[in-house]
Amino acid sequence: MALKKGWTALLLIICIGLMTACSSNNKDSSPSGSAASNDGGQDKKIKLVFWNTSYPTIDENDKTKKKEEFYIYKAIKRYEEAHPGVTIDIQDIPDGTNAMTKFQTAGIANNGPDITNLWSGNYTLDLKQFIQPLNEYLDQKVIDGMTGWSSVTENFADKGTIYGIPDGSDGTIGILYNKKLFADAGVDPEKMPLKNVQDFMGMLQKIKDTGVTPIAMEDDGDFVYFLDYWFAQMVGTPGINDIVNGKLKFSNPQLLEVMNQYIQLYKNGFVTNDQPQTQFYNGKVALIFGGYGYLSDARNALGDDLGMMKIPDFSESAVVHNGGVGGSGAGFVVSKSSKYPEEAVKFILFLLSEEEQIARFKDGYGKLLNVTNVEVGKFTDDPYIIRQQQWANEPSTIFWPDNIYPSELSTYISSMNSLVIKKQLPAADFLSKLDQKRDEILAQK
Amino acid sequence: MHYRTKETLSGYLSLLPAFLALTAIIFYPMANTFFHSFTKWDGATSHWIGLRNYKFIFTNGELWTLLRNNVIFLLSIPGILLLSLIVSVLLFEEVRGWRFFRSLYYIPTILSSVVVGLLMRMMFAQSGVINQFLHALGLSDGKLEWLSHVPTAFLVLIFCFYWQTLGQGALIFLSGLSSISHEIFESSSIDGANWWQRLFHITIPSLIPTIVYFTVTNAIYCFIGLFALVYSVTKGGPGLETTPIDYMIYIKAFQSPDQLGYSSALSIVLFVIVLFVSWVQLRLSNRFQE
Repeated sequence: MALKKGWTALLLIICIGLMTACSSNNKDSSPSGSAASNDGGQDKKIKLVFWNTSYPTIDENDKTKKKEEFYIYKAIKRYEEAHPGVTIDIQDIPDGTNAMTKFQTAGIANNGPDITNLWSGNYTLDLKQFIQPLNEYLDQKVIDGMTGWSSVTENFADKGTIYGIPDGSDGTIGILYNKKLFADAGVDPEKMPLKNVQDFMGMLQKIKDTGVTPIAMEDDGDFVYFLDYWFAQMVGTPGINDIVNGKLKFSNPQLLEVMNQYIQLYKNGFVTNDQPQTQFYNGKVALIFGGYGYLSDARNALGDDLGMMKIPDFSESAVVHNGGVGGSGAGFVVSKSSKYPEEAVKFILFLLSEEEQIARFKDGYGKLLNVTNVEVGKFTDDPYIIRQQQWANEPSTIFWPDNIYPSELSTYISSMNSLVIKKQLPAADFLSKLDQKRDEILAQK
Repeated sequence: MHYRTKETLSGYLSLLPAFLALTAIIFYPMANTFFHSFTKWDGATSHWIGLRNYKFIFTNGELWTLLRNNVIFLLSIPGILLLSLIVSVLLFEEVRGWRFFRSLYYIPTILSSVVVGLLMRMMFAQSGVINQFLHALGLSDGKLEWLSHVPTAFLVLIFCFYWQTLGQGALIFLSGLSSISHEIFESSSIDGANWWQRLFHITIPSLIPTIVYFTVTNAIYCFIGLFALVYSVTKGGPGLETTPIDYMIYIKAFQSPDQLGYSSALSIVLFVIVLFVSWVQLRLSNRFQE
C-alpha cells in the first residue's frame, strides 16, 4: 500500500511538473528569446529568426550543393560579420498560402518569427494584426530608393501604414513561346502583332493544325497569370477595385465575354493542363504564360528557340492595352512577436540594398530588382531579361489582381476556375458565384 | 484520516492528472471554440456578434454541399465493411497464402494519410501509372483526368479510404471472429451449410457488436478524419466539390482572414452532426441487436 501511495505521489509530482513546464510563460521560449544583453548594454547579442519562403536553399539538379554555397547563406554571413552580436537563424518553410497559414498560427500563439516573406497585397494586409507596422523604421530615402511600396501599404495607397518591404519584382507576365514550333505553323507574332482575341485564336488554330498542342496551363487554368489580365484590362485597375468593393459585379457583359472566349480555348482543344512547364521545355507545347521567374529554365531548355511576347489584348475596347500583370508580388514582414523590430528591418534593408539585390540577381534568383532607376542591362546581356525589366516599369503593367482581391476570394476563384475549364461550371454561373462570394466577404467585414 | 476517506482521496488524486490533461487539451479548446463561435475573431482580437456566424453557415448554401460530400463518404462505409468482412473471414479460414495477405492488407494502415494521398495523387495523375495501365489494356485513351472531374475524384478518394481502412477492418473482424466458438462452424459444416450460408447465418450475426463498432468509428472518421486525405489528394477540388466539413473548417480558419469565429461555429455544427449521427447509429444498432 505504501509503495502504491509512493508511486501515486511520484506520478502526481511528475504530471504537475510537466504541466507547469508546458504552461509556464517562459519568455525565453520565444524565437527571439535567446537574445541576451549584459547590464551595460555592451556586446548585445541578438538572434533574429528568419522564416525563409523564397530564397532557394536546395538545388534540384545538384543535391550535393552545400547550404553555404547558396546566396542567402552567403548574404547572412556577410551581415553577421558586419554586425557582431547579431545572428540570423534561417529556417526554411513552404511558400505561398502555406506560409501564410503558418505565419497566422504562429501569430495567434505569439511565437512568430522576427522576419518572413509573404505574398504582398491583401495576402499580407489580411494578416496585419500579426505584422509590425514599419513606418517608424523607414526613412524617406529608403522609400524613394525602392519601388512597389503600395503593394504593402494599407489600402494600396501611396502613403499610409506600411506593413512590409517589397521584395524585388516579378516582372510582367507574358507569353513564353517556342519559336521553332511557331515557325513550323507559319506564325510570327513579332512581325504580325496580335490585336485581339480573334487574332490569338487564329494563331493557335494554325499551331494546332501542325499537330502541336498550342498552350499548356496549370490545373487552375492559369487564372492568375492569364485570365486575370484579360479581366483587369477590360475594367482597368479602378474597375478591379470596384469589383472588390462591390460597386461592380463580376457578372457583367465584358467579363462574361472574356470568360466565353477563354472557355473557347478549351473547347477548341488548344489547351493541355498536364505538366505545363515540362511539356513546354520538352518542345511538346508551343507556349506557356509566364514572366521573369520562368525565363532562366526556359532559356536553358530552348536556347535560341525561346520567344517572349506580351499576352494579346482581349479587344480593341480594352481600358489597358499592351500590358500584363506583375509587380512586387511579395514582401518582407516583421512579426509583432519580434522583440527586435528595428534590427529586423535593418537586416531586411540589407537584403534589399542595391548591392545585395544585384548579388542575388547574378546568382540566378527568380526576381528582378525593385531598386529605383536601376539598369538591369548592366548585369545581363539576355535581351528578354532586359525587356522584362522594361515591361515591369511600364504603366500598362497591372499589379497582380489576385493580390488586390481579398485573399479568400482569390483562393475561391482559383478553385472554381478549375471547374470552369473542365466544363463543369458555365461561365455565367462562375461569375455569379464570384459575386456571391465577394458579397459574403463584404457582409462579414 | 479514515481509511475509506484516504482511499477516496487517493482515487481522486489518481484521476486528477488525467482530468487536468483532458481539461487542457480537450475541454478548454472545446469551450474556447464554443465561445468564439459567437464572435468575429481574427486570431488577435474578437468581438461578440451573437448568432451571425451560424446564420451565415445555414444561409450561404455552402453547408449543404459540404454535408453532401460527407454523406457520400458515409455511404461508402457498407462497401468497406463488406470487403473487410470477406477478407477477415478468408484470413480466418487460413486460405492459401493467408500470412502473406494478412501483412499485405495491413501495410497501408500503418502509412500516414498524407503518404497514401500523395502516392494516389501521383498514381492517378494524367500521366500516372493508372492511366498508363488502362491505356495498355485498351480500356481508355490514357488521358483521363481523374482528379479534375467530380465523380472520378470521389472514386479516387473513396479508393484511398478503402485502401487505408481495409487492413484495420480486417484486423478488427479477425479479433471478433476469434471470439466465435469453432464448434458452431464445425457443426454447421457437418449439417451441410456452404461458405455463404455460414457467412450470412453465423459469422455476420455473431459479429454484430464488431460491425457496430467498425461502422460507428468509420462514420465518425468520415466526418472528422478525412482532412489529411482530401488535402493531399484533391485539395477539396475541383471547385469545392470534394470538400468535406473538416476541410472547410481548415480553409476558413487558416486561409480566410478574420474567419476564425466562423470556423469555430462550423466546428460546433460538425460536433453536433457527429453526435447526432453516432446517436442514431447506436440506437439503430441496439434495436438491430435486440
